[in-house]
Amino acid sequence: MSTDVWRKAWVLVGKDLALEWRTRESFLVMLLFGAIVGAILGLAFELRAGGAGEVAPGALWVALAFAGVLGLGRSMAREEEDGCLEGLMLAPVDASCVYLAKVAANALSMLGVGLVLLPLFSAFFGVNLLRPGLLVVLLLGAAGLSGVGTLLSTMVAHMRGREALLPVLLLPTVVPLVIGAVRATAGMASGQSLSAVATWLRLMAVFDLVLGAAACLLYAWVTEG
Amino acid sequence: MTCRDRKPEALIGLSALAMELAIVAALVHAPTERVMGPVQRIFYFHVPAAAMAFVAFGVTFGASVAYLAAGHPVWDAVACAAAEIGELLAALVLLTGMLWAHAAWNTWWTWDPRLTTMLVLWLIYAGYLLIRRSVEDEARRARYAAVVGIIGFADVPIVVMSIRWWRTIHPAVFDEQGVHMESRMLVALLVSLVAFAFLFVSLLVARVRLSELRDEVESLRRSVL
Repeated sequence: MSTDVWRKAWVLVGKDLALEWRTRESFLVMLLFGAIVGAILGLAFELRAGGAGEVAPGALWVALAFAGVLGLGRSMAREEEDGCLEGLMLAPVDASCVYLAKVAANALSMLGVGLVLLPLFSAFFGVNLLRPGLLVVLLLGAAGLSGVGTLLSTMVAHMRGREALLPVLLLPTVVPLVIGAVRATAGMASGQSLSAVATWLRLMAVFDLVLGAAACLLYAWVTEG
Repeated sequence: MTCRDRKPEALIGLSALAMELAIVAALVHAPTERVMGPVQRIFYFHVPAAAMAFVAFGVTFGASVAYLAAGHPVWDAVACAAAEIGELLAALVLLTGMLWAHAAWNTWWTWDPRLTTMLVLWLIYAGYLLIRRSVEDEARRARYAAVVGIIGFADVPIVVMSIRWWRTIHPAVFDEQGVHMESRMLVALLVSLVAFAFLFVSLLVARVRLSELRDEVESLRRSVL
């Protein structure tokens, strides 16, 4: 039974990734948007503070969170077209299985964007963000953003003004995740090891697990007709 | 299950009385604080409002779970009423906190753990109320609101924890005032806490009753047209 769930979820993830690979529409938009946020923040802080290096971890996570909101919105808008989500719900899979698949697909695209933004932000802000430990931070951050974001974006998908509602609901909720991510990133940028920032990684993991489990349980209620 | 015949007037009268007592206790009975002077008296309204705001968000959570489990519209009305009152109390907490901070710390705002936590909670539940305004269909609105009410409350302990860690790792600029309280101060605080509890319950009952009357008017209108 449980291996069956994973297999089905994997098929759904494959569907999303194949769709994204063929069109590349949301990945490129997310990437460009993340780069724009980085450029704007870099300019703003460079002009005011003289040294942009200290704000680099914060800027990175602001850019990733905003790009994530954009990606989540587009991914659900795609499911809304031609009743794709209804089709998914009629398929013989649990809502939680659809949820897990959407979370994985959304998190993977956020992770991809993060991987490209790391060298870019290193250059923009004059810091070294190219450290292997940051992969763990990116992974935990993408999982948390996608875990809550997938639930909320599915919910607002057929509402008026969904583009505005998603960030207004999602961003305050992910404040603890962003705090953890910024602290862990800042620690690693200054050369600390993974164990030195373990507190923040644990915080992110707790966020991912608690809110992910809640969102998984609640997903059936937001997809009901 | 209707509150129609149980009029909230008696409760409102009781809370008015309790509030009078609280004002007397805070302004007359409690002694003037030695260092901060009269401005410290805001504490007797600030702390109970904060406590009841947490209670209100907890009630929203409990009622949201009950709505999803039982599906009775009264739970939705309770969740909505508690969230509205919680928002109001949280706004009072933020405003009184800012007034006090201006006098005590000489700044309107500081990223103190408690101020920040209350601000994030206020933003999360602002999203909750926004969702309620964005969905036309009643059953769907109730379901979505319940989902946000549950996710928001699951986030509360993580928000509190993250902000506490975030601040204690850095040296705190401002020390919290001592907890050693004179007995008359404690009395004033407790009286005010009781008054705010009465206020919360009577507002809750009145607001739920309003929802029910509104539904009744709506169904009467439908039966006539």
